[in-house]
Formats: sequence, structure tokens, C-alpha cells
Amino acid sequence: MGAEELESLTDEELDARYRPVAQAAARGLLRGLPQEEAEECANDVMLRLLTHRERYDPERGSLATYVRVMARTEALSRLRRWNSRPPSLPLEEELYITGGPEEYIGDIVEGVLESLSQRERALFTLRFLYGMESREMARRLGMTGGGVDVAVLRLRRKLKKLLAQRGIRVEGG
Amino acid sequence: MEKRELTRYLSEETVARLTEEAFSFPAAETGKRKASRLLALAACLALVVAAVNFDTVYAAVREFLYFFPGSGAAGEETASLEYWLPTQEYAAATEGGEYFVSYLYRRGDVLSLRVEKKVTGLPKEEDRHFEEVPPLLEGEDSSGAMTLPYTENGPAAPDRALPELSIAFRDENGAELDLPQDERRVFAVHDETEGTAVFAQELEMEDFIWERFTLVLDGEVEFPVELFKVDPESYALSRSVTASCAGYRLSLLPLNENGTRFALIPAPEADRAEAAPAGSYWQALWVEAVGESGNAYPAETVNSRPGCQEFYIPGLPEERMVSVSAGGILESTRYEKPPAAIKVPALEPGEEKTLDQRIDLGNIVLLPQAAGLTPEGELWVRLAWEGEEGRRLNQLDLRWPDAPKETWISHNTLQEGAFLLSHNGMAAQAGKKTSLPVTFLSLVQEGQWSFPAAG
Repeated sequence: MGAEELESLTDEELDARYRPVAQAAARGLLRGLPQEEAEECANDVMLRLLTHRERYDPERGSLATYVRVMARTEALSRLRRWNSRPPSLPLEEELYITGGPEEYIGDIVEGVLESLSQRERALFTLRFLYGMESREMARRLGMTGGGVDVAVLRLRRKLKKLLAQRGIRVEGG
Repeated sequence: MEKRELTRYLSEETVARLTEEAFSFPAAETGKRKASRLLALAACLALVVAAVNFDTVYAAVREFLYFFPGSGAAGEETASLEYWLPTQEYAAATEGGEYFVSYLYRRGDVLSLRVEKKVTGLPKEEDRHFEEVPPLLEGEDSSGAMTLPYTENGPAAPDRALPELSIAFRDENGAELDLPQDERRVFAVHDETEGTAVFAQELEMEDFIWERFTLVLDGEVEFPVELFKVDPESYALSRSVTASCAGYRLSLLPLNENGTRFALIPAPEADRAEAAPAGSYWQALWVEAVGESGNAYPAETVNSRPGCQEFYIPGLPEERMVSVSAGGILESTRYEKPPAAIKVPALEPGEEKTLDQRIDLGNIVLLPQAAGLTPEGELWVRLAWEGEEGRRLNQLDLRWPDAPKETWISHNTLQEGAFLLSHNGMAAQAGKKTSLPVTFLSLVQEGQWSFPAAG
């Protein structure tokens, strides 16, 4: 959606279209917290969108992506206020970096992600960035639930190996 | 370094790009990927040193070579100590043959399995008869004559095909598990004297997450399998499967009924544990098992990973192992941050100097004795170590100065109780003081760890 099209939508139309997107993104990360947290998170995101439409840059992605990223950022912020880790991922699934050259870790991680296939990146994003459950992931990616579980398992192993080859120690998974 | 979730290292821009891609999958185009420094760095890290500008690539690669496993290191991956074992053996006899599961267990999400199938009633050698071809007629060329085998009742029947063995898995609901069997080893022994054949398959299957499943052999023999997780804490609780010596404890976990496959988990105790540098890992050395017959069998390693090794007795003898012993523990440490360095004074080509240094690494003390620079530009250091009896240096890696535009070769040799470490391409170091940080260390602790082979 371009900036002009965004401007042409009423607040009600924007809210109807994108509140569910924000809620879904927040729900995945805030699973385990009271339901109101996800709803309030979506409220904050929609408020920001409606009052600052000009901040959306179509060059960086679709409006849905913009809303999802905002929702994710807000959800993580709420988790920190709860002094909680993302409950969306079981403890044994989370991947933690415990060692490596500090100044390069971000670049290395992003480089490793670039080297994955599109499907692998999608699996990574949906599970690790948005805490999506297997069933939902399977529906989106055209896989079975069991297939998603095995694919995520393989991806975790692959990420650990690729990062270890580049001097980054990873725990978990 | 504080533990942080991997996702926290991603930039906002990357998160947005990943989000766009994932939520559009599979219809999304990959889009234009800007040639970014990230891709360039990834290319460097792939060690494809075929760049036009070798210096630039090499500089980036060299920075990260520090973190790569040194020669002889056991590997960078930490073994999962979670084992799932069955509570029974699996065997069956059918018209098609006798089936026996030599071992079946899970280590983390890797399933290890060996199945043997024995077939009888195959043609024996004595059933074959050989007769010479009819005598040649006068003048006939004998070069093509050959001896043909055939049985009493006519030409030999085609060889009965050696037995094959198919292995499949079904989940709790009966659905077939479509799993790749890439890591497969196959053995076949055909005894023509007895008319028997044994066909064995060994499988290592990754991403195997099932605890209850059905093992299906040749489509007809079915074993319902239930695996139970072994509590790692129990390794150290049972006196019969743990032995202590020289400050190290060795725990044994049998992985099959007769003890021909087992895991050994070494760990330092008390003072040794305090002295061991962070990130150290341990392996058992010189492992042997003794069977009921009194025969001693050297054990071979398999699935060798830092912290937990698996062993098997070659040939998997049928007799039960009654005891296992190990003669040493290898303690290895890869240093993220070098704890110390050997100081090398300025040297001219052809010169060597005496060193008088003492480097205490906590678990061993290094004593650099001398250093030299050969006329050909090879820098060397000789060092001994201080330690208790039965404890010795096994391997030491140092970080050497850059040797640009040369293939660098590093040597580590043990001579008369001292280590000689050297590195070529060091001509540029002439006249300069040098510091050689310690990046990797392994030492051997001798001892005797013996225990009954439980199982």
C-alpha cells in the first residue's frame, strides 16, 4: 500500500483491517500473560498508526509488515515491564548467544540468516520473532504440523552449527 | 558475556525485511537484495578465499580463524547428555529369518539403531559340483576352455539373493514416519559352508523426537518401542556405574543389554573442577571392556563429542561385558579470551634465546624454555610443563603473528619431554618482540577407572 492510499483510508477502515494483524502478532509473543496485554498492545499500535500515518515508509515493506514490527516491538517492551522472558517459546526452544566477538555478533547473525533458504527464514521469523504456534505456521507455509516441528528442530541445529563455525557460541535448542 | 536471545541482535531493518518475506511466503518475490556489507562479510566467513583482492578477504577471515577449532580439538558442539533408552531387548524369529536389535537408543534427538537379520537355508558350497568341459578335439584352441559349475540336477540355480533388510518407523497413531536414512551402514556376511547369511544395518537418524513408535522390519516384523529418559543426575549416584581417580569421575551408561555399546561421561571433581578453565570438556582415553569369557576388548569411539562419548566393542560380540576400564582422561579447553601469552624477545634470523617464563593456566603450568628464529623465517618456541605425576601436556595452540601472502604452516611436536611449536613465514618478526597468546590447551590425566558394566 502506498502512502497516498494509506491517507485515503478512514480511521475505521484502517482499524478494521490492521487491528487483527497487530493482535495476532502480539498474541504470539505475549502468550502466557493476561489476554488484556495483547489487546492493549494492539491498541497502542493502532493509536500510533492512526496518529502518525506519515511515519510509514512503503519502501521498507507493506503496511502489514509495519504493523507487525510495531506490535512486536511493543510486545517485547511489555514483556520487559513484566520482567518476563517471551513465554511463547518453551525454554528448551529459545536460542541464546553466550559467546563470540561482541562487535561482530549482529553482523554475523544477519549474515547467517541471509544464507538460509527462503523457507528457513520464514520458519525462523514466524517461530522465533513472532512466537507463532506450529499449527498456524503449517497453515501459512503449506506444511503439516509435524513437518513444522521437525523443520524448526533442523533449523535450530543448523543455526547453532553455522554460528559456531563463525565463532559464536549458542545455547539452547 | 551475558546470555542474550539471538533475536535481540537483529536490527529493526532486518526484522522488517524478515517479516515482509515470511508473511508473504511463498508468493513473495525475494526482492532486490542490496549488495550489502553483510553479504560481503558472510562471503568472507565462508572461507572462500578466492577473492580478487586477497588481502582484504584474508584480513577478514584471519580475524575469525581464531575462533575455529584447532587441529585435534574434538569439535565445537556440546553433546546432549539426554539419553532415552528402552527397557527391553527386541528379537523375533520368522520364516524369513531371525531378527535382533543390537542396540536402540536416543541421544538428544538422534536415534542410534542397529538391527541384525540372520537367514538360514541358503545354498551351501558342497551342493555345487564342478566338471571339466569335454576334451578338446584335435587342433581346437584351448585358450577359451573354462570350468563350469553346475549341480547334480543340472545347471546351477542362480545364487539366492543375499537377504536385505528394510527398516521403517510408525508413530503412535500408526502413520508411517517419512524419515531420511542418510546415515546408514550396511554389513553382510555370507557363510557358504553353513548356508547362512547375516545382514546388519546401523542407522543414525537426526531430528528423531519420538519416544513411542513402532519399529518395522521388512514390512512384517513389528516392535513397539517405548524409550525412557535417563536422569543424568543418576549417573553419579550409583556406585556401580561410577569410578573416581586422580580427581576425575567417570560415569558409565550402558546403551544395550550386553554392554557392547556404552557412553562414558567424565567430569572433574572438587579441586580439579575449580582449577579447570571455563569451557573445558573431557573425554575418556584407552577404554577397554572385559567379557564373561575373560577376553579383553579394546573399545572404539563413535559419536565422539566433547563431554560425552559413546563407545562400542568392534564386532559387537554376543557375550556380556562384565567390566569396563579407562586409562586416561583428556581435558581440553578452547579459550575465548587467551589467559596468558608466551613472550618472545627480539630475535635475528638464525638466533635463539633462552626463556625463563612460568605460565600458570590453573590446571597446568607451562615453562617456556627457549625461542628461536631460523634463517628461513620459522619462529619456534620450546616449552616444558610442570605438573603432577601422570599429568602431561597433550596439545597447545598459540596465536601467531600474521603471515600475509604466505601459506602458513604450524608444527607442534613432542621431543624429549618438551613441546616444540613453530610457525613459518615469520621473517618479518626479525628484531621485534612478539607475544604468542595461548588459544587452546589439552592435557592428559592418567589413571585407572574401572567399574562393573551394568546392564
